[in-house]
Amino acid sequence: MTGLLYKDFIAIKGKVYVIASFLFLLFISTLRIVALFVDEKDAEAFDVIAVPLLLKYLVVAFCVLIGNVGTAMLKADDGKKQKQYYLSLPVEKKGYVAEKYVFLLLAYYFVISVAVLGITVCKAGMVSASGIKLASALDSFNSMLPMLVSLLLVVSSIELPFFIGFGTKKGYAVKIGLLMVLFFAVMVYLLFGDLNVFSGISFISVMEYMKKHPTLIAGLQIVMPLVSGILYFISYRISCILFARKEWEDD
Amino acid sequence: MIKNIEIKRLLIFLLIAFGLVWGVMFTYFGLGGEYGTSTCNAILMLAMLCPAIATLATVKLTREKMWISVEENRLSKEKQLSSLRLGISFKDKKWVWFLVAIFGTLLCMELGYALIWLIEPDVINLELLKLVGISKTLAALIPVAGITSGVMFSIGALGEELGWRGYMVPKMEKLFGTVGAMLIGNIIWGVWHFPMIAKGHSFGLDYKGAPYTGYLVFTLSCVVMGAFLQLLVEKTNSVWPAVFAHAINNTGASVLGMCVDYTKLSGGMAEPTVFLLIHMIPQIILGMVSVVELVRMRKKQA
Repeated sequence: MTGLLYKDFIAIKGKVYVIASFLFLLFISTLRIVALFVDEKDAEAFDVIAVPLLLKYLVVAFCVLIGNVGTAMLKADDGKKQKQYYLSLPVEKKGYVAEKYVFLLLAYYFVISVAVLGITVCKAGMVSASGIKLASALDSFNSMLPMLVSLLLVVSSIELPFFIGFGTKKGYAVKIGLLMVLFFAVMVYLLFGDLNVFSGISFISVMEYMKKHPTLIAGLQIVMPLVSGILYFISYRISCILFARKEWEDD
Repeated sequence: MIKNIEIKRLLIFLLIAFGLVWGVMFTYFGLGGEYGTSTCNAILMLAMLCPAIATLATVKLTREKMWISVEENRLSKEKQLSSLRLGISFKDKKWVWFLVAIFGTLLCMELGYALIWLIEPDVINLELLKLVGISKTLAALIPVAGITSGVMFSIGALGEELGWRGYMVPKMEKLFGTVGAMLIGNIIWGVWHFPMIAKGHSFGLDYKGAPYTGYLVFTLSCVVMGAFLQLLVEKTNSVWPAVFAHAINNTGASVLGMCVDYTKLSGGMAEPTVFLLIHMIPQIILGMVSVVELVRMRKKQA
């Protein structure tokens, strides 16, 4: 499996993501170290720069995960003479499918790890009044990460069987179809729904809501990863069945 | 010849692992930094990555050929020891050991607090859960949250286990044998934590014999826990179960642990070192069983 994992890492140009993430962490760390040596007012400015940067990284990273990694690693295996390629691999069909699921899990693990390191570095030295509030909000956000990843796992659980079982072209069609449905649902709500629910919502207000409802958050922290893990495993089993029955394109 | 190279590699690894962490810690605490601040927590988090950094640096500097993972049906025993063991395999019932890693760690924590409850019944107060707004039903599921948090946020543990169990202990085993490697390696692991203990890690600052008794007790906990972690690595040929066990241990996700009323501690139990020693008894038993099993495995392989 290690060989296949490495192959997929190269296929999705994983080095670019790793280096970009490393440079991002280095930049955040440099900002924090500099902030330790300036006066409080200037240090607050660093807090204002570093935290939104971290959140933007996470948004971009998760979008890349949803939009690119899963399909890119499968697209790399598409092409002519697919059947000969799969037959030449020194793994069983189950092993091949399992590797795709493990690879995606490792990708999520990598993004979470960078997020955790980024949050820890951002929080270092936040001593101003607004900094302490922001650090507390970051702690709440940290505790929300398992739930976020659980949602992404559910999305992957739905799309992977289509890509593995029917190929990337049909998989893309299904994925775009689902996204269009979601998009239209959001548009309909924005046009005709009650928009007052969104007034007053900000990162800090959401985090403060979470702090006021620890039981709800703890419950979600427990239930969501469990449910998404079970769904992910079921998705893997479905993918194995679909892959075994896959009709190959004529070579 | 081979031994000389391995000793050289070990020394370079230890120099980097200790140099990075102790250098930064002594600088930070020397400049007046305090333990427990957000800056200190950031330094500790990054310190956990240093054994992995030391491993990669040593491999690069000494041009050592290291395999990322082990595929037992292809590599000789000699090559198995030159692997970072980053692979995951569930074949041959290895998945059982992943469960042992997760639930064994949690069980040890709960049993430790249960033992304290037996000795001092007043110390554990289940009503404390209400004070933090957690129902008893939800509290019973807290260990599950500990598992998910531990597994997801295990980057620090990965940094440590890659260095200690993935690189250092296998090298020491070539020089000192199984039991020797475990003892010496885990003592080194404990000593690595000394600057943090001196500043209040695990025990605070105000206890009898501080910080020396703290050093002793913490090193003992590293030895027993290290034996269990080493067993997990050997049974699965992968550092990942050890990573998860280490991470879950660090979360401290224990239902009984949340119910400890520290104001009710009295006598010897009020000493943090004594408290940890008693809490550690299930882990000591697990460590001893791990050593016996590891020695048995080695004899079988020989």
